[in-house]
Amino acid sequence: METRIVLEPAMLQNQGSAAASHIRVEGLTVAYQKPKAAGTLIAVSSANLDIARGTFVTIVGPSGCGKSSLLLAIAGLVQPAGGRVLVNGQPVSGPGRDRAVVFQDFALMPWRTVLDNVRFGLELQRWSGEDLTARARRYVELVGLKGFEHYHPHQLSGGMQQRVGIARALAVDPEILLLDEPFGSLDAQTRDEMGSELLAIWEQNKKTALFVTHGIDEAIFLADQIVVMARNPGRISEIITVDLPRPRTIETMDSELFIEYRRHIRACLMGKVEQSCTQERRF
Amino acid sequence: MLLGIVSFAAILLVWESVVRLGWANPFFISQPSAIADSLSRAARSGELWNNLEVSLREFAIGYGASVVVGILAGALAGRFRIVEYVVDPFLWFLYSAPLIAFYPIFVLWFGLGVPTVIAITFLLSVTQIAANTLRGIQSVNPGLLRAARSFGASERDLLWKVVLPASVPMVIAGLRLGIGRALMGVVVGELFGATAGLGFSIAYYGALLKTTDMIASVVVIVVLGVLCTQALSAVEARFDSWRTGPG
Repeated sequence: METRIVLEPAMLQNQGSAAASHIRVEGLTVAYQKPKAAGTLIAVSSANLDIARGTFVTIVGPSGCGKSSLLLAIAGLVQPAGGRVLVNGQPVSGPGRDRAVVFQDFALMPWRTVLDNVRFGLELQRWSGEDLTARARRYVELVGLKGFEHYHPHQLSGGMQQRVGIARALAVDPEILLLDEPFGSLDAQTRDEMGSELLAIWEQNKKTALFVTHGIDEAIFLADQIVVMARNPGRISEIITVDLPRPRTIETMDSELFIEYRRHIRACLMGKVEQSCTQERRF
Repeated sequence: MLLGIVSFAAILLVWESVVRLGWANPFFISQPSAIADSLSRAARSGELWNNLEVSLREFAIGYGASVVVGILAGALAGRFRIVEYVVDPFLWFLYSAPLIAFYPIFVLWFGLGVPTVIAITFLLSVTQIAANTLRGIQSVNPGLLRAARSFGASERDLLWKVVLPASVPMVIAGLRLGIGRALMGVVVGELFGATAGLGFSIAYYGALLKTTDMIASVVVIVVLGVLCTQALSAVEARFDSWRTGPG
């Protein structure tokens, strides 16, 4: 039944050198100081991961398994307590032009129009030699928001707002697209539509993409590789290579292979859901 | 809006009628026509303009200073923890205390007259403006700051491209509330110890039991307050269209 699923060990130390993988995570530990109480919350515990250039990798797991923390550490927005992240073999010490993030809560500037929100990243990265507005306009069109350039975020639906978030990230032409549960607050139907459209955009230039989700179907549908995470403490429990042909459509979700992946991942996650949220250690 | 005008006109009509029909004593409530007469008389004699000028100058200086000091103090407190710890107790203290109680102290320091009125005007409005600015800066959504950082924003970028634009609505709300408090400061200040101004003329005619002239001054102050608030609402609409605009 599971013969067609390729399982790989979480430790991929033999899979090429650091230079060969686009993103390499080595023994990464992320911890948060808990307010008031003298304790530390271990969000991610010694995670190892290699992501090849041009692959679409999804991270799936129950809430509190540290999947967002892992992504934010790669983004350089969270400082690791241990281990390190390498991008193109260079250690990450903060945000960089090679990476752009799409956030779950969209994080659009409410006082800026759609067009100016897409310009936002270009302005911050001091892009020059090109008309920023013209470039922003192209990306607004790419995500299907032509005609909404001068709307403010509060005038748009959640799905449309996240299209702006995606356009803002793509406009700065990053090598790596980091998406932190980008469709988490959308309704199921919109989520499926957005997933298909994201794939269509991704297939135009195949940037390396890392996509965090708690939706199993979404994780399979998008991915070349699925990283399954578990709680207590947050860790990578399994990495699954998805051999579904591309381009994928909504019908892909009905294929036998897809259902098999789904069954396997669910079984993977089931064993862990009973446990408490995150490990707590006192020092 | 239209209904508001209609009901306002109706009240004036009822007011005028009850006095004319002899159902109410004009000594206590005067009547709209007499107030209009009094206003035009004061305008012709120059008394109105003189009082208006004095009060407006006190308002402009007191409120203007509190805008500058309030926004600066609030912004610095919102930006730097140290400043916040220093400013915060004062803000709370001034915010919760009935500031009119300071009036006699100001009289002691500045004497009766314009400087004391300006001081009380400043004190009444500065707390509101500083508190709103501080709250505006503190309530900036951290998610927006994180998004800006993800694109490599410097501290300077964060301030100019996120923190300041995000806190504009709260700051302007503070400015609007500050206008009401500053006008109150002008009137109260003049009621007790001034030789000219709209508040002074209320107290003066009150003491002489000239109800009509007294209410005429009140009308001028109310109109002044409405005009100032309207002007600021226009500014607010200009900067704040993303929040209040058509949705």
